[in-house]
Amino acid sequence: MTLFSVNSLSWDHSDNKFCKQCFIRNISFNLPAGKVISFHGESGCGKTTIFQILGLLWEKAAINGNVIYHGNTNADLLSLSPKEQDRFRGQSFGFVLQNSYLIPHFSCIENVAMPLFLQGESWETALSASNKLLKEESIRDRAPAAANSLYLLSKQPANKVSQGQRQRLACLRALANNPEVVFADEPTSNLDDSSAKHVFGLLKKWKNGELLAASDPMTERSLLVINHNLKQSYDEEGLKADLFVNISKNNENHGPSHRIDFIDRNNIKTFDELEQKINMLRLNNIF
Amino acid sequence: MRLKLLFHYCKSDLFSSQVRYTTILLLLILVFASMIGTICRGLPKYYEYKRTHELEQRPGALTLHFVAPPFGSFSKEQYESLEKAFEPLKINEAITQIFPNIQISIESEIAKTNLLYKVKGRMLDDNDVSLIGEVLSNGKKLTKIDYDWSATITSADSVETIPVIIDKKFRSELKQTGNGPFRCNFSKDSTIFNLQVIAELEYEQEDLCSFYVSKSHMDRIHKKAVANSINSNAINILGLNKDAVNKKEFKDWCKANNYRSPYESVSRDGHPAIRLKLFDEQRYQSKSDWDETLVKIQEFFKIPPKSLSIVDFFGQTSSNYELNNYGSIAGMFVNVHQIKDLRSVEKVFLGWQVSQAGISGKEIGVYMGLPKLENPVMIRLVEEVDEGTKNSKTIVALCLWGLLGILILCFGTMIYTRIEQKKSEIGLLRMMGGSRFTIQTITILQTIIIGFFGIISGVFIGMFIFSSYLYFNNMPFSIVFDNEFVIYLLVSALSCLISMVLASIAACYFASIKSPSQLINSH
Repeated sequence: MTLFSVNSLSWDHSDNKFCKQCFIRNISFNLPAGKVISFHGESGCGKTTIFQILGLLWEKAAINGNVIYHGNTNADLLSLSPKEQDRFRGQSFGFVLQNSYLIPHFSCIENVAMPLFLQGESWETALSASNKLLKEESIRDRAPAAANSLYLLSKQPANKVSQGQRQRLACLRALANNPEVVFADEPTSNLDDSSAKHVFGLLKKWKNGELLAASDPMTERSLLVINHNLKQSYDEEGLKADLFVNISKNNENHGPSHRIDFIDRNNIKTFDELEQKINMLRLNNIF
Repeated sequence: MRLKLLFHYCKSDLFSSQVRYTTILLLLILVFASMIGTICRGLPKYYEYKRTHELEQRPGALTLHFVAPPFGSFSKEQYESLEKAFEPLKINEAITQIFPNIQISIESEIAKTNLLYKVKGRMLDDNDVSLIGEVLSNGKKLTKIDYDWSATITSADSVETIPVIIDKKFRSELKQTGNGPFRCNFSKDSTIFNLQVIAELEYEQEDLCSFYVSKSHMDRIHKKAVANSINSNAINILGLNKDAVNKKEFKDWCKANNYRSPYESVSRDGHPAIRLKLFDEQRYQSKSDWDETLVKIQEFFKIPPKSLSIVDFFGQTSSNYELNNYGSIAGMFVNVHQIKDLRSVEKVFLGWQVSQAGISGKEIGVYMGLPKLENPVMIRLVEEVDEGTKNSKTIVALCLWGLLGILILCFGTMIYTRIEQKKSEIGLLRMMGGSRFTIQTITILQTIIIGFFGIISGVFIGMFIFSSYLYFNNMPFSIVFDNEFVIYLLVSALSCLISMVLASIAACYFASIKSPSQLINSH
């Protein structure tokens, strides 16, 4: 099943004086549902922008085209009103960003509870659910009583915990709403290998249904990750992506502004082969 | 949901580290600046106050008390030269030397152990100068004023004589009033028992000085004058005609109620008034005592309630110094405390006071720069004070500019940080599914609530500081703590809070024209 079907997507932000090259023109692609998809590409090629458009984080004024979600042709996400987009985003999507962006004057647990609260849960229910989530995460780490256990730190202000813990909290915040899709934009780029494994482990647990039971068993959870570290995305201990997407800018003045290539994990045997293919795609684009 | 989120948001933001640190920073700046203000402007006042009270505890010391300029004190050399000018036994010559062309009128009253002279002066055209005064013979124990103007004064312990010479210029006036002007030559042989003189020297020419007395400052003094009646021993009453003063029954009533005989006076605003005083060293500590007095007088005369009003309070403490001088026309003042022996001049302070048309000023030092002063002696004194306070004024100015710079930097950084932080928070909350309307409403309400509480608390702190209930070493804190300086700082702190609110509104504006992604990326 298709998760996102993007048709003739254009986005023009060239009036931004700081980014004259910021634009997307007429790109189309499909992303399958229920997969771990890893996005790669050079810096500034537009990965984050595409992510944000798919995640409805851009105002639709500057966007043309349509984004069909789960094959429902009647529901073009871009044609939803801002209010509907807000609601849809809150219910169906979760976001993890490069920086954790926790609200510093709220406690860890309150930060995790915030999306639930914004979706209409009472404060007490949201806190209780978040507490459960933190506990579950800590137990699955087999270290609920360890000093770095998020469960023990739940009452601490968010700005008092370590960077790795903050990022795990940001992941839990993204998952608290039990969304269908999680967008993770370079979630581990500020972390060491150990913390990165923690974060990816957490996201994979959620993806595999080990952390939060899906509200609808039929719904396939999808994890979309932008990552510069191809090895991390490939490794079993890392993200172990099902699908690798390489995004590169198209140098031609006409036609789509970006070239989007897919590499299925099943079609490659080793990491070297994946790396070779990605490099080949980039070289092809240059020449 | 919105209300609950607002509640939690306010709660967490109010106690957030950012607000805590900002508050601590502001308080530190406030304390630091107030310390400078206190040291540079408040301490001279404090020492003046303290000194006055010390002297009051030691009868027998003569002090020509000129208040030191508020931006600092005189240099040692200036002190020495001034002390020399006021060397013992030559008080009249000294005054003549420093203040030629001055006519002084003296209003006297006798306390238990003190003869209080209130000396009012006027610049004359010629050089006929010595201590020329007007004695009002209403004092209880002023038993005799000889026509040769040797006044005999009886104290509780002894009888002393002051040689008083009538100034020929005012002889006719004297005949008319029965009291009137005199010239008092303080000679070597004169012995005055516990004489206390307060002299206010007034200039006839209004354009002698240029004034920089703010209206708000005068309003404050006026309000203080009305509200602050601590240690007051006399009031001016409006609403009684002069016949009341001469009414024997009223005089008896006053005596029976422990007031001196009332007499005609002029209020500080220039209206005819009746002055009522307590006996001896008695003081009323609060306005309500005087209010009760007023009610009793109304009952005595059987006149309707509220037909009388108190317009001035009088006292002898330095805290009331500004009040006592309220209403004087541009002038200088000399306080001579507790003269027992003119040979024992202890200390001389110099300073002067300006005021304009019914509104009193503070010490002239506040209003430095008096280009229109024409009197050469005055010009010299202004120059001396200017010179004497130049360094301290420069230091104060530099400190103030430095603090202002720090404040502006703090402001700028705080506002920028606040806008960025709020933008990012709004973006985050929207990313999590919060609607634009909800989040913006919460943000604005939250900052307004915090700003409101901040402003209220700021106002209370201000009231607390300026109230007379706060004492520092037995001195009202508002005197030590320089009022205007603290007001500026409080206003700055309040502006800070208001800026935070405005910053949040600005953030909301940006949030309304930008996408969540832009808001988050702006962090």
